[in-house]
Amino acid sequence: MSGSTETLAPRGRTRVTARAMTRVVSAVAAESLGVKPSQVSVDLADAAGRLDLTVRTPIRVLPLDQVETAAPVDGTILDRTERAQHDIRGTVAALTGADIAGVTVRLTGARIRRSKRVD
Amino acid sequence: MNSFTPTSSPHPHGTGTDDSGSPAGPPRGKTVINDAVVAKIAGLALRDVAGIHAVGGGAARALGAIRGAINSTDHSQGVSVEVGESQVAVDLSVVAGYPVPLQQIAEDARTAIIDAIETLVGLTVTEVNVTINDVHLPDETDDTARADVQ
Repeated sequence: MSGSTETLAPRGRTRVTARAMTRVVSAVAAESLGVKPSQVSVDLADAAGRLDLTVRTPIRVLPLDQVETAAPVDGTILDRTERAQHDIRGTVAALTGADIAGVTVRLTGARIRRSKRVD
Repeated sequence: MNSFTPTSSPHPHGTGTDDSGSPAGPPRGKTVINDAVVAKIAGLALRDVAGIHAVGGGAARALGAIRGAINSTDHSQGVSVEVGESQVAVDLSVVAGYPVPLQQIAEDARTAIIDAIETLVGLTVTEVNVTINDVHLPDETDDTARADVQ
């Protein structure tokens, strides 16, 4: 299957299918940007034998009327996206053992979600 | 489906429980262990491996759900074995849980299968090829139930 990665172990090979890789990437991206895994779309590409990831995802933002009252503790959207990009690279590499060449995060929208009033 | 007969080659762990003939006299009968047994033992060994959510590809799991409902679970689901004279190669397909490192799951599954086959069957395992075909996300089931506030 295209997009699957294979590693050699002492007694046998381990293959991670493209589907499994896509799931892991979307879960990590979703977690990091506060959206659901199903809202994230992932493209896997080959970059000279390494794995190149393109993630298209919405981002979770605060409603505009709350921006002043509740100061965003985690920075601007660009900051958060950049942090998410690093998260994806680190966590996906740790979870799947893939050699990641690059991660492109493309924001496709904003999901406005009010923070819970009670925990 | 072919089956194999353990020859008088030494047991890999030296326990020799399945030696068919006594070393002194002529063999008095032979032991045949069927391929299906090897596959089943491999499948059962996976039960103790942490991080495996399911075993088998999509079709195998769908069929497995039906078999499970009528109490005839196929323990060798997702496992295919190739048995030779004294060696065996195993191919395995699993769904991993999230967030468990996939290489870790594969290595644990490989070790469990090698241990089980070499101790219980007495064959040498040449290789165990593990395919992680999917990853199960824990919040996937309530994904559709929860409406997104926009």
